[in-house]
Amino acid sequence: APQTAYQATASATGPTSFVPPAPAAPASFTAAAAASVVAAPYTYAAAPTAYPAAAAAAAAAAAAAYQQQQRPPPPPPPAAPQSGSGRVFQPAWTTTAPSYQSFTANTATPAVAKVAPPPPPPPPPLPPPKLAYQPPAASAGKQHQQFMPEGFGGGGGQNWFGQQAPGGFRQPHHHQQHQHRHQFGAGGYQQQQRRPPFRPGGPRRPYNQQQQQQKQPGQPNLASLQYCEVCKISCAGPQTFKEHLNGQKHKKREAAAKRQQEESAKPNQKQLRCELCDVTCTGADAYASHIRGSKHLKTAKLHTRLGKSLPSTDPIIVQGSVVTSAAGANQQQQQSQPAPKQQQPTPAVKQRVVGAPRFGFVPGSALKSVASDEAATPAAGPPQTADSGAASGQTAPASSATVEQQQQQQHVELAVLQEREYVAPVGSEYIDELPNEQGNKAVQYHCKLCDCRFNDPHAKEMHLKGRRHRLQYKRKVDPSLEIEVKSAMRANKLEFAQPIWGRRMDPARVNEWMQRHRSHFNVGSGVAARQRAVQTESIDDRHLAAKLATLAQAEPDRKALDALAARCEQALRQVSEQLSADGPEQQQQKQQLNGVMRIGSLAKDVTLFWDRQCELVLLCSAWPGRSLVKRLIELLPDQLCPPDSGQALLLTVQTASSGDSLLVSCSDGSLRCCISLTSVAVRDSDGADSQAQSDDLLDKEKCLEALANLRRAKWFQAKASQLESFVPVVKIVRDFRRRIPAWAALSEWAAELLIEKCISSYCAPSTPSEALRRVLECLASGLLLPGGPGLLDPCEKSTTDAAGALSAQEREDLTAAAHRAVRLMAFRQLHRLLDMQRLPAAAEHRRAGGAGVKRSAAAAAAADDGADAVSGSGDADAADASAPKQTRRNSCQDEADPEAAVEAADEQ
Amino acid sequence: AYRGSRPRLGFQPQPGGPARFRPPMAHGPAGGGGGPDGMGPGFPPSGPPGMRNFLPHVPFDFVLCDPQFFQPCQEAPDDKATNELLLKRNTDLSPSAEEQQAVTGLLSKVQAVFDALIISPDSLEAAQMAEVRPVGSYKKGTMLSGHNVADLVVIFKTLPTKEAVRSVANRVLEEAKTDAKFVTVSQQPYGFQVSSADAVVKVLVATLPANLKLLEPDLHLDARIQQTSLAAIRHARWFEENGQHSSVKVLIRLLKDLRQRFPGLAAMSPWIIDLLAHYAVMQNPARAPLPLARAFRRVLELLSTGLFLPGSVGIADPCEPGQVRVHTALTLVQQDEVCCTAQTLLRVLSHGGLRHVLGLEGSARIATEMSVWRGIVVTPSDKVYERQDEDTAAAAPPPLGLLAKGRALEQQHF
Repeated sequence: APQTAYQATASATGPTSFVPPAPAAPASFTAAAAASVVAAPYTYAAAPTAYPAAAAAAAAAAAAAYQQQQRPPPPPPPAAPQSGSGRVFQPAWTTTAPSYQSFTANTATPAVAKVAPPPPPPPPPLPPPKLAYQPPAASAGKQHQQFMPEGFGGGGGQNWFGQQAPGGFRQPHHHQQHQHRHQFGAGGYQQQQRRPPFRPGGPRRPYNQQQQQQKQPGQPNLASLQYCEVCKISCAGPQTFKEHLNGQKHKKREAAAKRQQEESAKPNQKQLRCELCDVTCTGADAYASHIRGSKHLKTAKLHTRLGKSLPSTDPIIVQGSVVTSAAGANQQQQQSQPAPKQQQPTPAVKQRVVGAPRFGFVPGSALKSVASDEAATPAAGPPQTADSGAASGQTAPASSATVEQQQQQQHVELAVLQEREYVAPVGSEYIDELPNEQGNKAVQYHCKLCDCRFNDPHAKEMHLKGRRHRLQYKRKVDPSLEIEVKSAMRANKLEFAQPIWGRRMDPARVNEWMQRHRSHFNVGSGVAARQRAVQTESIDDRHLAAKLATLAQAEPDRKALDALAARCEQALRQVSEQLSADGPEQQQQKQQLNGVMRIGSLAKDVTLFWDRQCELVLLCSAWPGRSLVKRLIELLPDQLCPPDSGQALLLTVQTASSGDSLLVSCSDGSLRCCISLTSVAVRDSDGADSQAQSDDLLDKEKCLEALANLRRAKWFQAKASQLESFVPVVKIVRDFRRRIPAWAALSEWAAELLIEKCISSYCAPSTPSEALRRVLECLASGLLLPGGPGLLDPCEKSTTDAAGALSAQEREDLTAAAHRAVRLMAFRQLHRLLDMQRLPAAAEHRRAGGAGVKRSAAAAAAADDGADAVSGSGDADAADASAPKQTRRNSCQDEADPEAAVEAADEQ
Repeated sequence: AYRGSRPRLGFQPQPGGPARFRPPMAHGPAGGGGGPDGMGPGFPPSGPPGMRNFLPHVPFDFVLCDPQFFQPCQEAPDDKATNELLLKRNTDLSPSAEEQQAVTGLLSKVQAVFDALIISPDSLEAAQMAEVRPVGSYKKGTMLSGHNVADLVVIFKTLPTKEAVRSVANRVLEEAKTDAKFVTVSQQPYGFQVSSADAVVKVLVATLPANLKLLEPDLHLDARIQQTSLAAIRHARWFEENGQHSSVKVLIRLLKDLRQRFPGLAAMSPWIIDLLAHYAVMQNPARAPLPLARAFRRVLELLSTGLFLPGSVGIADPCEPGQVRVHTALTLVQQDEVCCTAQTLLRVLSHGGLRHVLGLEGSARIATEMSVWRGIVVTPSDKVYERQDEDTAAAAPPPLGLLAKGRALEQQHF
């Protein structure tokens, strides 16, 4: 019968209902109380064991308790203290273990209560206190809590366990008695109401109490030590303690802890938790590192000094929201500490029994095999105390077996977890051991890939497995290394890649984004205004989007180009292996191919419909010569088109016209890939050396240009690719350069640099039209004219003007073109600049889009087209911005989507 | 927390901090919005429906950019010669001592008459006067040579009927004739004008601001003109506080000269020129006045980037309530013209045409005709603004607001 009852509850509510909203708790609480008149005496016997699950409502607790019932009584987790200091925590309720198992279920849910067998009455060993508030007698204080650990505060405590009267945890017997006399439900609850308001994470003990305690003579020094459970630090005196509690750091942590509780761990992510320090680690490595670390050691030392029990260093696997409930209960129960303490001056240190240790517990899922069942009962597992006292002596012999079993299970799980997240360290050869600068024995490690240093071999190990290092390794050494996609980060990037461009953002996300970047927006209404501006796209943005749609390269073309580049890269890699394998030793040294990289528009993903050529740079170890080019022409075709592969598209390899680079072209002549050769050695060599061998070596200028292109591609990855609106503006400018003679003189690199500088010097997020206008304005203000600053090239060591190649007349023409373009944009004639048809004004646009037009067409048209005219202000954006928002999502979404998809693909 | 303070629209670079742009605030154009600037995102804007979400564009400006972004590639050219040339031109433009003396003499006489009238109000029955203040370029110290005009605002306690103004003018004429011959007085829409052989004093008559509502168009002087006169007092006071740096004054003189010679710039009123010059010299991250040569080029740069184009943040009028952008007083055609001319001049200047720009050589045709500088052909910018008649009849010529009309008048009179 219990089995079915539980199942009924579980299936009715589903797993999600295990964490019902807080307001539900009192209701179910009273319901439970009303239904459990028979069981009332025993409810509190059950209470202490169930309190870790306190954040869950009564139903959840019932289910949890029922699970316990089906299993052996809760054994101690492996985290039982091994310190052997004799500080045995022995809660009274452990004696009642047989009874509570059945009764939690009864009290919690009426349905269950009816089917549950009548419970045996628990032994009431102590006389009942009159009031819950009343401090217990000295004799009753078996577990004396001298230092009140603060639970990591949170709303989770508003539950029926938390509502247990103060002191209840420490004297459970009293409360059993107490509840015998009083109606459990209403009485207990009302008592609760009288308690001082719950302060999450706040100071447990009133300040005056602390002072009183201070004044007590004979109080050991240690007792006056103020310990903040949230921050895990001790303060020298009450004054400092108070200051600490009022301090920003403490409040921050408190808030963080609270937040952590609220948004419990991600459901699909397991975390390892150090109960002692209240630190959650995402991986076994991180956990191990934490345990070794000084912070943990310090905390452990402090706890030892304070006479607290030390949980084992075995990690506790945390999953889902159970953490929350534990914290809440913990806190509630600790909150009941202060009053008795005052009454009992006996120092805790002497008793050596410290109550309310932190509770490690394992959610129900942890008991099962890792993969299965997790989803079914994420939060309903039996709460389990981590404290040794619970397990050591008093537990039934039957349960001790299960303790081991459970420990084993947890170990298994831990192993699985470790295995799952095991990453082989890569790139250990890039770690240098440096002698310490002070001449100590200690060795420093330096990671050449990431350019960072460690003093500690453990840190080095961690770094080698770390994501950052792996990313660097992937980027610089082995592109084939697989790195797991970090979901949060990816979402973040996607958010930045997509939003403003071409599609309306979800206002909630805009808001959130604004909050995060609040520092940029110093003025409140500026945020709001910009937010509104971001939500609605101006007519200029619509023009740009439409133009970009016509410029966009068809997806098959882009893929074909991409595939060609990939094939060339692969072939070059294989050729490199061949070269290094069969060449003689010296030759091998000379002709090693170090790497290949994409440059140009394909690498930057700004390809437009006319792009038929991709560019690669082949980096060699030594100055490449014509012999190497010849060799490559011999070797490449076999790798490009292996005879057995049956590639449909035949590729031919030839030298480019100058003879300095390779040109791989498709047999149908549609696509080409230009491979230029270069080497770092070209830059380093002096002139005399190069002249001596000039007959064979490739042209120095071309090699240097290729090197510069490499640097630019890297610059692009590092700086420009994240910029909002960068890619659309680059595309538009590419179109200008192709179409407008004055723009043609501007090199691709100079254009990109200009755009990057313009966008990044403007701190606010800019829409493409804003960014484009800013670029034009920058040119218009005489950037390239004599007397202007010019474009300082960040990829050159010497002071170089990236647009230095422009002649004076070209500069003049370009500036004049920009001058005209600035005014065209300002007077809303962007379509003339873009050489396209004028798009309908916002009103007509909306009308075409469908419903929701409130203004009459004529009025709207007047407002839109005549916006310039209104009071002579020419506020071009105004009319657009005022348009009803719900109707204007359709225009650019379609064009924007492929782009977003491409960006998403690149992220992966 | 923001409720009390009303943030300025223009940029207020953070002293010491990196000079990145702060996004401007939204506001209704031409004071129409009056939205709760600075009240935080929770407050809905209260502007007119069409203008609610207007967010002005911030034009590019080298000076306000963080220097890390646009470091000069070459050594900065020596500005010494340019500076000297500008100062020389300024000396040419400044009024000579005699001119200055003539204006001062006439003005002090007229002012003495008004002072006497204020002290003994019973001596004239037609009008009661509250105060008299010198305004305009004489007061600001930005007079041009050959333009010997001083401006004086007289505030009446009574309502300025045309007859009252005439009687006051007669009184001034009587008093002035006692010690100087050849003084004539002519009545004007704004009040009257006292002319001697070599100087002119314009007396702008206004009433107390509280009386402005009581004015009747046929009986009294035009209320709009009176408002302009009152604004002139505010402008003079603002300039006294902010425009005392000599670079600002020199620049104003140079710009006024440009405006006289190049018709495209004629739309800029003296007050706009004051603000623009002050902006160009003083508005920079260091809050230190820029060198004159740099400031002169910056003025052209600012105009070229479209500081005074539609949608731009422009310069907020410090003497008007609300965030009024001064360039909204110009029509769109004028805005286009101003920008166009400045763009051409900037290119001419960059290619070594400073002397032509300043008017030391050549003619004003450089702004409208193709010219060659050291072998480089400079094509003048052409106007792009066109009325979009094709798809709306509503694109009527922009109605001049009250302020704009005032500006237009101000431009005539000063």
